[in-house]
Amino acid sequence: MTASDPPPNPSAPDASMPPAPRRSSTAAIIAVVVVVLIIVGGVAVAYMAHVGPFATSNGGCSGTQGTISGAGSTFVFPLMNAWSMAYLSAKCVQVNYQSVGSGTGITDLTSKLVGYGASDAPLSATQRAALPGPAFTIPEAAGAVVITYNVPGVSSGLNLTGAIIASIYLGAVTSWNDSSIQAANPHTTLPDQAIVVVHRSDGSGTSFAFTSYLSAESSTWASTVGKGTTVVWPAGIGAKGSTGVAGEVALTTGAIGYVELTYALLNNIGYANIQNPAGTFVKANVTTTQAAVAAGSGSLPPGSGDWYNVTLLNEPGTNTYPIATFTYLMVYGDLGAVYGSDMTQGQATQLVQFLWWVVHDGQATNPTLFFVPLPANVVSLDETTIGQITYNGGALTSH
Amino acid sequence: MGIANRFPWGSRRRASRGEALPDRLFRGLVFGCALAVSALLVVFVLVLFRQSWPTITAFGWGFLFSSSWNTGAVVGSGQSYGALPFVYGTLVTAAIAMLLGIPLSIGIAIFVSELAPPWVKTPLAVLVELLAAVPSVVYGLWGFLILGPTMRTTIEPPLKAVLGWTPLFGGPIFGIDYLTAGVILAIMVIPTISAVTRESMSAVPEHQREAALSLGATRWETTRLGVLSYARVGIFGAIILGLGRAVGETMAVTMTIGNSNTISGSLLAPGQTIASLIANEFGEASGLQVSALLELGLVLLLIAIAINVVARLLTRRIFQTEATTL
Repeated sequence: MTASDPPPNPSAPDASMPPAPRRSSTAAIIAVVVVVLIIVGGVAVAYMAHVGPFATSNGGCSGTQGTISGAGSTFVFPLMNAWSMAYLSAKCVQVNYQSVGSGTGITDLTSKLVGYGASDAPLSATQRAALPGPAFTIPEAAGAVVITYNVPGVSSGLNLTGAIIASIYLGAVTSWNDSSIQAANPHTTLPDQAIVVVHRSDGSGTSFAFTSYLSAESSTWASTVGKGTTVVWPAGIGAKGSTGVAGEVALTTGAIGYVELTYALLNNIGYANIQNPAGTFVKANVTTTQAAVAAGSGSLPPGSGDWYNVTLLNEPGTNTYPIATFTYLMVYGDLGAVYGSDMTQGQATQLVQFLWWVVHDGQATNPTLFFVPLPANVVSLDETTIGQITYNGGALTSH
Repeated sequence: MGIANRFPWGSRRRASRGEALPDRLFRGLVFGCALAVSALLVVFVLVLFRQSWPTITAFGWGFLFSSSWNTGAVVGSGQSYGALPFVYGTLVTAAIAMLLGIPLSIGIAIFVSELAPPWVKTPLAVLVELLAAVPSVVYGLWGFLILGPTMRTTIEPPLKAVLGWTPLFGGPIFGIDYLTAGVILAIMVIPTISAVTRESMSAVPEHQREAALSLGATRWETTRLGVLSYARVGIFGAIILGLGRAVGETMAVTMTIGNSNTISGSLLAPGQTIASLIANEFGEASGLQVSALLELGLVLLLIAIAINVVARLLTRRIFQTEATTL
């Protein structure tokens, strides 16, 4: 080799290599053009299907009368989606809901990006303090959290108590034939199988309800883990989303997990009977959850009040499921004062009309998606709250 | 004629003055493209830095060395955030991916480029590269539904039986852990590393192989001396590209690592990487937690930059030693 040879650098084309055949660059250009055409075509078709002459879901509206924007809870998304479609065909108003998670929903509301936020957990004092104006809390549906399990030989009917669940999630009870579990299931033969704890890895309203329940049931849990959409889990593996938890439990022998009732029913997966304060082991369904909502909604704060400590946990009644939860909409009390010129009085009126529709006509959709409809006293509380929403101090026509 | 005279800087600059308008437009256009990308990187860093300022001031350098990730769920306790479990998880899974992925990828590249008969060559190369086109969420689903259970029932028990005495394979078996995430990452980096390696091996001039063969070298010796050592800079670049993918991969890792915000010495325990933590928690994060997640994003970006810088320095070292030996 002579000194004038280029250094051996494979990334630089070697001088001795023949030039690339022209055909290949033409092919590349054609390929790029085809890809671009496909993308542009896809976007165009999607756009046309959405707003253009091929739009299918506008229910005979000659054009939407306006747009309402909301963001938050992924749990309530199926319901919100159904509401959004029904509302468009009924009122010709487009509801854009971004299923970004409860936390982000509150953040978006705080930065005035959306007209309402949806959250499975009530506003905390910190979140409330960060808002640019007072906000109202409007419960719009309720659900239950169920405990799913995968125990060989016990396909259904496993009984659990809050204390047992807390011990399992604390990592203290590690085998399915532990004496405490056996005591709750005297007629069942439990296997000597290690328990694999599965929890949500993403922040979640389901986790908030579940950890609130464990905090109520176990003082150890309350003082070492606490309640929140994300907590420091003392044991187990995290799975993303309800799908992840359910899938992980289904695939892992010995696993235990928690998901919303909606999810367990839609996917037909087994879940445990939980002991309520009356001493009965209750299976979660729309009826037993409704009993919890009815019992727990007797002394709710006003819409403008602090809801942080509102729970539907451990409500009285023999046939009441102990782990139920509300899911909420958050709206500013004075829309004009908060949004200024970003929201006209007309838009504010459309927003309160949508809220009114949700707590009335919208409730009929709840059971079809296994959400619990609001009882009459909560509907009337929501009516009062919605009636108090103003625009620069002036009342809005909600219905 | 040396390589320097082929692109003399001076003459190119001089030429720009007398350029035709289309040429100047084109030059401006591509310069704009290049500038936009650099500007984007700067903006990335600045925004991440600004958004993570609350945790930077609250925790300082301690953020990097703390393993506490507490969003303040316990009433009365403060929030505290640390990056250590996630930096650890990121590095461990990337290391497993490299350990398994590099030999496999280079093996594939050697076979395709040096040994395979022509009718196998192209289909095999295309197949391997198709792996790169599989969306990462599909890898994640496969890892979650197939690989995880397989690891739990058939791969990890024997591993534990043989190597259980080392802390690396201790503890209970979950099937969804550092090791499984590392294996998924290894599969994901194979197309990248093997394709770039194959390219650099094909770029080795034929006379290198001929020279080795004429000296009586065997097939293996020819590949090792004539091809691999010649293409090593390219192979190194391929490995760095693969490492970049392994460090930043989010979806597939989230679905296979077990998402536990802890540090564990055992590869059979669930963990968390920076990318998977951000994917998991960002949606429901608020306040200081958002800032902590963004600071982790900054840390990840810095890790990626560090890998690239080290790679560049090492490549230059290799170049320099080669230049002196030539």
